[in-house]
Amino acid sequence: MNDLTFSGWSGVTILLVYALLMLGVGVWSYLSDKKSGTNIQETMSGYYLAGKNLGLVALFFTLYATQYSGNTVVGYAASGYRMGYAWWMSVPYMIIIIGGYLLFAPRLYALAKRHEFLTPTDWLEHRFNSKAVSLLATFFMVWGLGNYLLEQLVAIGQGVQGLTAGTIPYQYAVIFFVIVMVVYEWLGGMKAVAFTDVIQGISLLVGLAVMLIGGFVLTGGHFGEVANYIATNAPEKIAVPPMKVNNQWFSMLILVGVGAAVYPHAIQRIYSAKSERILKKSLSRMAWMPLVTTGVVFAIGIISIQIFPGLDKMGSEQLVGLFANKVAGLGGFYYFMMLLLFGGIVAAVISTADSVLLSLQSMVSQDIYGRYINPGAPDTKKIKVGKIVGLIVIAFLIYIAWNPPGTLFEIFVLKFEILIQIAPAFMLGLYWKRLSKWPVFIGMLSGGALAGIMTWTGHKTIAGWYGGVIGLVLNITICVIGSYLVSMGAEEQIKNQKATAL
Amino acid sequence: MGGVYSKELLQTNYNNFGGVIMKNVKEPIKKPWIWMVMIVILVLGVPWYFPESAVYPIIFGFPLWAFVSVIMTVVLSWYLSYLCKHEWNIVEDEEERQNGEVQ
Repeated sequence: MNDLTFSGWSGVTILLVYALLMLGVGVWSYLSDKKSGTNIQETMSGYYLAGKNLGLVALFFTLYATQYSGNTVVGYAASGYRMGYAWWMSVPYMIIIIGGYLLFAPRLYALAKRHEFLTPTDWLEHRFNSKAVSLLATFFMVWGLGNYLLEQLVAIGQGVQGLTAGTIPYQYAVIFFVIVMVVYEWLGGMKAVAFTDVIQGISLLVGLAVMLIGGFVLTGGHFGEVANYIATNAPEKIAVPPMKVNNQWFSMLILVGVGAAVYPHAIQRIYSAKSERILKKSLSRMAWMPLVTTGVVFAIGIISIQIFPGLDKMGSEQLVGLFANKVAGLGGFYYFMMLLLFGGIVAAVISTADSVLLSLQSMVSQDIYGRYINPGAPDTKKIKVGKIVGLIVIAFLIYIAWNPPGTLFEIFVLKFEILIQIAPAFMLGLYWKRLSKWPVFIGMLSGGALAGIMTWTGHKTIAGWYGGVIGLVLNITICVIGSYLVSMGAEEQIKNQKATAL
Repeated sequence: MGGVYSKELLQTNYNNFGGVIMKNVKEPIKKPWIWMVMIVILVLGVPWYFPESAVYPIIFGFPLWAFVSVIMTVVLSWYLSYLCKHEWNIVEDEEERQNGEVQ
C-alpha cells in the first residue's frame, strides 16, 4: 500500500476524524447512560450486553462490522486475484453463517432472555453443569479470541502504515488506536461498541461501492471483456475448478457457516438483541450483505487480473492499495471516497477488535473471576477486573506482535479451528437431552487437539478438507457415540429437557 | 431414582414461557425440509458437476459454471432471509404483547 496518491497527511487527517468520531460515540454512550440511569457501568449485562436492549440499526451494524474485518477487504481481494472465479466461494460461505445461526439462535435467544445468560459459557454451565466442560470451553474461547485480537492488532498497524505511506509508523498506529478503542469501550461498553460499529459499517459499505464503480470506470464498464481477457491470458483462473478446490469450497461452507455463528462475540450479539423480532430482522438482512461486501471484493480481485497483470503473491497483497490508488487517480470525488474507504478499512479492523476484546473481558469477568475466584463480588468489581485483565492481554499481544516468537508461532494462528469445537455443545446440546457432559468434554478436547496438530504439522487441509472441519467431525462423533454409551437416568433426562425447553 | 417418572411426563413438551402457553411456535430446527432444501442449494452452488467446457458462454462477465453458482448464491440469500422472517417465531408474540402493554 505504498505510494498512494492520497497517502500522507490527508490519510492522517481522515484517521484522526474517525478516531474523534469513535471517542465521541464513547462519550455520548457514557453521558446518555448517566442521564437515563440505565446503569451501563454498574451491571454486567448493562456493560457487556448493552442492557440487552440493542435496536435494529445498532444490532444489524454490530453484527455486520464484527463479521467483516479490514482483512476481509484487503486479504480477500488478493485471494480473488490469485484464485480467480473460484473465489466466489467467499460469498456463499459468508451467507451460510445465517444458516449456522438458524441452527441454534432461535432457541438460545429465548433461553438467554429467560435465564439471563451473559457469556457463551453461561449456557454451557446451565446445560451441562460441569466444571470441566465450562473451563475447557472458556479456555478454547479465550485462546481463539486472543489470537483473533492479535491478528486485528497487526492489521491495524499495517493498514494505518499503508494508508499514511509510513507517515504514522506501525507501532504508533497500534498504540494510538488501541488507546482510542479502550477509551470508548471503557466509557460505553457494548453500547459504544455497537454504535461505533454503525459508523464503521457504513463507511466500509460506501467505500466499497465507490471502489466498484471506479473499477467499472477503469475497465471501460465491460465486466464481460475482463472475463474474455482472463480466458485468454490466465485460463486457469476461469476454468471449472478441480475436485480439490470444490472440496475446499464445500468445507469452507461448513467451517465458516458453523464456526462464525458460534464465535463468542457473535453469540453475545444474540443475547444483546432487544427482541426476537429485531434479531430476526437483523439476521434476515445480514443474509444479503455478503453479496455487497465479499461479492464486491471478489469483483475487485477479478477486475485487477486485467488491470494489474502478473503480480506475485506479495504483490497481490498490495492489491487494494494499488486499486484504490488508481481509482483515486480518477479525480476529486473518487479521491475523497477512497480516503473514506481506507479510513473505513482501518475502522473495520477496529470494529472487529473491539467486539473481540469486549467478549474476552466478559469471559474474564463472568466465567473466570465471577465463577471461580470471587463469586460474591459485586458487578462493578467484576467489570473492573475484566477491564484490567483486558488491558494486560492487549499489552501482551502487542508485545507478541512486535516480537513474533521464532518457534511455536503456530499457537498464535489457531482461531477458527478451535473456536468451532464448542459448536456441538450448543447445536446438539440445545435439542438432544441425552447429550452428556463427558462425551462433550472429550469430543471438544479431541477435536481441538486434532485440528491443532494438523495446523502445527503444516497439514492445514487433507484433500481440501480443513483441519477444523475434520476435528469437528471427530468431535461430533465422540459426542454422539459417547452419549449413547453413557447411561443417563430418567431424572437427568428430565433435568436436561427442562434446561432446554422453550 | 430412575423409573419413578411416567412415560407421559418424560414426553411432556415444556413449551411454556413466562407462564403463558404459546401458540404458533415456529422453530427452524423442527422442520427437516428446511435443512434438506438448504443442503440442496449449497451442493448445487459448488461447481463439482460441470464438464470442463462449462466456461462458455460467458454471462455478465461470469463463466457459465460461476454464473450458476452466483444464481444459487442469490437463492441462498433469499432462502435464509425468508426462513428468518417466516419460519422463526418462538417468543415474539409474547414479547410484542408485553411491549404493547408497557407502551
